[in-house]
Amino acid sequence: MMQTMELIEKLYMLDGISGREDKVREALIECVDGHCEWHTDARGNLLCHKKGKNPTSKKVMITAHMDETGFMLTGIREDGLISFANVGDIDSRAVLGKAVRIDGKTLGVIGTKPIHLQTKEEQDRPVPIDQLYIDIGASSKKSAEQAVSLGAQITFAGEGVTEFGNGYITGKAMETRAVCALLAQMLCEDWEYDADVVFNVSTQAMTSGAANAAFAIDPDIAFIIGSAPADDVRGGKHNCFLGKGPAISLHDQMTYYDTELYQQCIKTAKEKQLAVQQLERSTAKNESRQIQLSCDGVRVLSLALPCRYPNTISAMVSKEDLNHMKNMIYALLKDIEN
Amino acid sequence: MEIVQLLEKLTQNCGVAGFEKPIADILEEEIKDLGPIRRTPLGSLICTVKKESADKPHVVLEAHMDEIGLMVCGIDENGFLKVTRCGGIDRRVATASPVWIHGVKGDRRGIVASEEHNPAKNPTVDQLYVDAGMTREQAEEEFPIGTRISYIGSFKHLLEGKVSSKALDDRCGCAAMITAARMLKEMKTDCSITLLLSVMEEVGGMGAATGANALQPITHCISVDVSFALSPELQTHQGGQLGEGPMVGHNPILSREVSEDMAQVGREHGITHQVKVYAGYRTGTDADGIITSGAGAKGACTCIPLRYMHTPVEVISAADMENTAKLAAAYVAEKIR
Repeated sequence: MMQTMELIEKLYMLDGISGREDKVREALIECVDGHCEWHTDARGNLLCHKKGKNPTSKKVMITAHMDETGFMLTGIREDGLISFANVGDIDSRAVLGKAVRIDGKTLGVIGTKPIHLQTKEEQDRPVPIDQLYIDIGASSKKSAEQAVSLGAQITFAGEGVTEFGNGYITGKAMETRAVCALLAQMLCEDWEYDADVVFNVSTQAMTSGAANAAFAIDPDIAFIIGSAPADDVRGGKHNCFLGKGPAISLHDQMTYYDTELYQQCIKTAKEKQLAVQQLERSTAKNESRQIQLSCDGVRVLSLALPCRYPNTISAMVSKEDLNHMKNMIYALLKDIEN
Repeated sequence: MEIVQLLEKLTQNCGVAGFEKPIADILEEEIKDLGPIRRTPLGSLICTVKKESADKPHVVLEAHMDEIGLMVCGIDENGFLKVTRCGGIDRRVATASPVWIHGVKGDRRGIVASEEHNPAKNPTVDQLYVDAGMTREQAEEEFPIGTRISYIGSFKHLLEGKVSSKALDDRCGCAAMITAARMLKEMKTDCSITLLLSVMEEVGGMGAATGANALQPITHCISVDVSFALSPELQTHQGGQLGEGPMVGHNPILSREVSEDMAQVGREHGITHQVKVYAGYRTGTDADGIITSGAGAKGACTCIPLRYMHTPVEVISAADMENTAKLAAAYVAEKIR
């Protein structure tokens, strides 16, 4: 069984924007194969059925997305530079001065006019993503076309996965891959109760992948394991903290969650002394609403992994929170059944 | 290319302006076979490559070893590091950059973040901070005020022999000048040759100016720095072409004779180069400080074109760096006597 850190590192190097999750999925299958029944569907979701020691009266689906925020190659210019568009919400200020990988192989960089030549106004105003370009070293369109093509997926190249400080991990797509690694590793353990674990596609594209899986599974309850921006930083609102466990909220931008599940989560946390944080405000966007709407309706709860600097090459999560998340998932499965 | 391997090694080590010791140690090891070495009080490296009698000319080959970075200027109650600039940090590109914090217990990983949460505004330098994932007590123990912080920017091979990394400014100049000195060691020459790898260029050129004072008398200098390579935002007169060779500079402070001779040597030897006019009354490089040091010297500023200066993803053409080494060596061997 692969340890979570090792799996995170492996998943980190596998680029996967929405619709290009293949490599991430293959690595997850490799990890969970033999520990559960699994199959993939038309969208590319990976559906795993975990047989527990006890059957359940309620069908529970646990889902996390495999795709990361990234870009698509939209044009190759005459001067050999590459035009691109974002897939998912990305703050353009975190894009300048970063390296990218195109279709998992060609490296490029997103540069800018040198500081020496910038006007004060240029320094103050962020450059919109559609005005940026990628330099892969090609000096002509012809040369660039030998290496890359239209529609290619582009992801941050990042600077490796690193453990640092007091038990934190940082790297590109960390908020996504840390959760996938955790669930995949959990699937290798023995479970008390049956559950369906889904690694879904296309969260950044209409948050659509998980809904298809939900339709196929037809669960009573779904836990959506995503991430929440931790704002326990300088100038932040100090609403969501690293190290204080999974974040839950009554509603966010897209979903009104199941109040009973929400309250159950608080109760479970209190009784079993587990870490959970109740967000007063959540700006998260995830697949919960689509899952809620599938079949004849599904009761949903989002358990979000706190993450500082999400959607950058320096996404930062806490190893402790991964443990808190795991404990909460197991405890909730038990309490819901009993 | 051997020089590319040298460049990778030099860029992937650190030496933020005012705290160059880590890179200075690497450089010293690299050049120890070239001649006797000493360090100036500020930390610049001086290597006597060839020593002729006092009546012969004395040329200094110079590049700067320091890189831009940040410096810890305070630690807040949650352990976040407040920082100030150490050279021309571009606040537009700093956000979310991974960094090394060069603390007293070793290098620690950190993340540059900003207090400016409005995506329509870039942070000011004052709004930048570094997250080391530590408590205040831990941070205070490891990172005294003045601790330097450098970008992490791995070495990448792009297409057409271009390479990208942090600190190509001016480690590519160091690689070129070391390579030129190595060539000259084997070539027939008729002058004293000193290699000067200086500190503190990014904060004002103090290393080169004082290094030059320590080396008097100097008759000639060739200073190799990087200069803007054209990218879409630049106007033609603002830079040179990436891949078209070293930019042999013309500027009021530079010697017209040296610049012209160098271009001529380039043409005769078929070494790709481009002639570049640096607007203004000075070059803004270490050449200014060396030319005006002591009793004065004839100076050239020969620059390697570079895109995206002062970002963790600077880009140069490796061939430009190699041609810079060849051009400097050929010029010294043929014209300085």
